[in-house]
Amino acid sequence: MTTSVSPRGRHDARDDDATSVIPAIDGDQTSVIAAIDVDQTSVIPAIDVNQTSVIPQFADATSVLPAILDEPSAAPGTDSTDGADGKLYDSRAWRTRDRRRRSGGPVRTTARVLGEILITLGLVVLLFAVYEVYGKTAIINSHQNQLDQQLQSSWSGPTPTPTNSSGGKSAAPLAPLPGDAVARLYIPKLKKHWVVVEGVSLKDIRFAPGHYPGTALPGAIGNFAVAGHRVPAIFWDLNEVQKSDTIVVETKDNWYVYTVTVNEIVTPHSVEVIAPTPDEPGVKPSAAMLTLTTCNPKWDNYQRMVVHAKLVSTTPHSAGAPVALGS
Amino acid sequence: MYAWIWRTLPFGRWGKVLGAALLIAGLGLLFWYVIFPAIDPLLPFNDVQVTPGTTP
Repeated sequence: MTTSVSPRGRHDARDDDATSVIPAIDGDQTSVIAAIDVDQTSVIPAIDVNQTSVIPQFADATSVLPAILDEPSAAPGTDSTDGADGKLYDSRAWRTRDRRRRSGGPVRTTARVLGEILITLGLVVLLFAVYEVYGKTAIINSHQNQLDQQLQSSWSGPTPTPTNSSGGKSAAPLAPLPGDAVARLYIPKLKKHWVVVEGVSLKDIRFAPGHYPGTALPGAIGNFAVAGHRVPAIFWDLNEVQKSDTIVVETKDNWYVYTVTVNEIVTPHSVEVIAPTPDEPGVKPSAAMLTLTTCNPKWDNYQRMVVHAKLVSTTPHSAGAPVALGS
Repeated sequence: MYAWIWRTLPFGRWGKVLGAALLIAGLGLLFWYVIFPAIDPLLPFNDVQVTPGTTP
């Protein structure tokens, strides 16, 4: 006689001596937990729509715990869940219950895909923010290296002389073409330097500060005006360049050292800042000035930040870098 | 969508991990070197940066 309780209702020969309520495990079974279909997204058996409660209903049951039967029940394979024939609990019925996938359905799938797409887009935007700082800096630096070499080779090459020059150093050098490297600009306070190109269109200033066409050349009486993007690799920290800071410009012939006179915020249309006499349009220039312009605030462009500087010294190129540049 | 990608990647668990890593790296590089440089000039805060008064 068996004292075991086989909830499946089966009566194994092995059960004969068992004294526990835990169902005997089949030799090949690797787990007591019902095998889960790989696509199933929940372990909890799906509830039949018509079912009004999760707890299986047993007609004669007075509790949900399976009762311990003292006699073998019906033959294996019956899926009955009511208690009419004395079998109160058939775990196979749980497992084989209709496992309609509740995670399917068009509405739920659409919502899930939409959510995943939105999260992905958020990550892309974050990546873009990182690119704006680090990616563009790398691109600008590599272009600056190219421009450096371009400048070096154009300075060490022969000086193009205008046809009406009387020989020697050309008094009126040929106007550089847009995009050509013109000079080097150093700001020791920011520990940065750039090759300045000619022109201030978006294409020209994309990777380097640009020289406003028509304004003076470095060291000449007038206003050597330069525009640069407010990006980390170019004029990002221009707000730190204040009165009496040094700016150095290097051309093929000379080193020019300028001292900052003012750092101001103006409207985008203040063309007077690049006039030959800064802020005084129409007045004939009497000093050699330098003007740097960029956007303000840092990520917007409804203002401009303008730095004016006046020339303090000119030394020939062969004399080497000025003291202001340090070692 | 991601569940589908995971299921579709071949070569077992480690194959999926590797495949996912390759996908992420590939997409990341595509964005960084191709798509971002292309859309960067089109963005509003890069507009007409520093030319006071002159609107091209």
